[in-house]
Amino acid sequence: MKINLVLILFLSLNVFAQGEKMSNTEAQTFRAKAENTAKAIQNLTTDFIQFKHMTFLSEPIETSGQMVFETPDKLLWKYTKPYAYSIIFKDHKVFINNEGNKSSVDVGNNKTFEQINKMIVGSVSGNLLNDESFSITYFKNSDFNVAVLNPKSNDIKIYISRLELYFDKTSAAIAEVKLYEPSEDFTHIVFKNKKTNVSLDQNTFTNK
Amino acid sequence: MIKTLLQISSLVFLLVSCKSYVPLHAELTNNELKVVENEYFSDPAKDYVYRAKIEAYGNEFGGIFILKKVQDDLHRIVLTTDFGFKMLDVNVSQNTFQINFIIEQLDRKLILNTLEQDFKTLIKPSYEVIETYESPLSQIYKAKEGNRNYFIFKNKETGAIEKILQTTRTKEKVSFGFDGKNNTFADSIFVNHKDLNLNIYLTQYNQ
Repeated sequence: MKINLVLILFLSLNVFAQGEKMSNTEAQTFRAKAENTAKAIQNLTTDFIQFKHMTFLSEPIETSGQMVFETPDKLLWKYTKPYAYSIIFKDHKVFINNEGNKSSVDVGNNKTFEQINKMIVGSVSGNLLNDESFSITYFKNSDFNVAVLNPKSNDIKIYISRLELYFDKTSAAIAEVKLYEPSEDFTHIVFKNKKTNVSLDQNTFTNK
Repeated sequence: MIKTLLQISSLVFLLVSCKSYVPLHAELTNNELKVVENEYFSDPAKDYVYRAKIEAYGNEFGGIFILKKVQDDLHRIVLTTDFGFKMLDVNVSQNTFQINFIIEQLDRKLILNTLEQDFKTLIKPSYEVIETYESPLSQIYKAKEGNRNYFIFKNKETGAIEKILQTTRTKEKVSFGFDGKNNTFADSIFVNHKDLNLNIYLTQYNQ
């Protein structure tokens, strides 16, 4: 009896955390809408706030900045607060500018890195929902439609146990992302002031 | 005659080079304090969060360094990338070093031994003083742990620990510099290894 109660409590907490599971029809409709939204994106600029949650900390660590994405796979992730740090994903390479010190890493030969990069870019663009390397479950709550992606690769599972993508109910565009580690510590990214298909400076993805 | 002179100079050289290490401009003084306390990282209510820059053998990488006192003699130390991915997650006390998570690239004996020693020095709460020195700006306390000596430099005006120097009997090994207005939460920390090409810079993370 006690075990059943604990189980029910656990299950109800689970429902509360991600919302109610979508039916197959609902999931198909949502997925088609999200894919259409993603397809229409040529580029995207947005502000973001990143919260790093760790169970032993009294409050999450907060960072913020701007992000620019250009289809198919260019991404600028620029932290401005509390320090200046930018990272550009482009042509299988990662370019870093750490408070003025520039460096680059070729990740083309590192499968794990490549997959993590793909995951970061895909999280932003919304292009991960037809990715075979995840098993995906769909949920809905009062604010968002939620896709929970569980990586199939053991190499990725060491770093990320699951990825939760929160989609705006009306536009079906990505609004928030949560990246969970196996320890259940997680990184929560909230996008704000999002603009799509704007005119981008041609030097946006240059490590300047 | 020349042979004798050479022998004497070799002896002098040996005597000089084997002289026990004493910090520059420091003079031995009365030993009044028996124990010197290190209050950095001592508050269990605080999240000690720093932006880290690590220079190792020509490579440089950054990230976030997080330290928290989780029990009386136990600290949790985590190093993440700026994206938030964990690179290292350990529980450290003066007698234990338990790895909760480590990325493959850092999982090397030399790196782990070095980090273990550095982390243990950073969180060591107190030292038994065996000698006291004085320099124009600092009161310097000497302690001994195993085969290492420690020189703890306290600013005469503020009373804050400004440097902990780890030495062998004759030379400097690692220097831990602390800078800031607060005796318990340093604004910045600089760990400089004298015999390894490794420097760690930590700057307090102001959200």
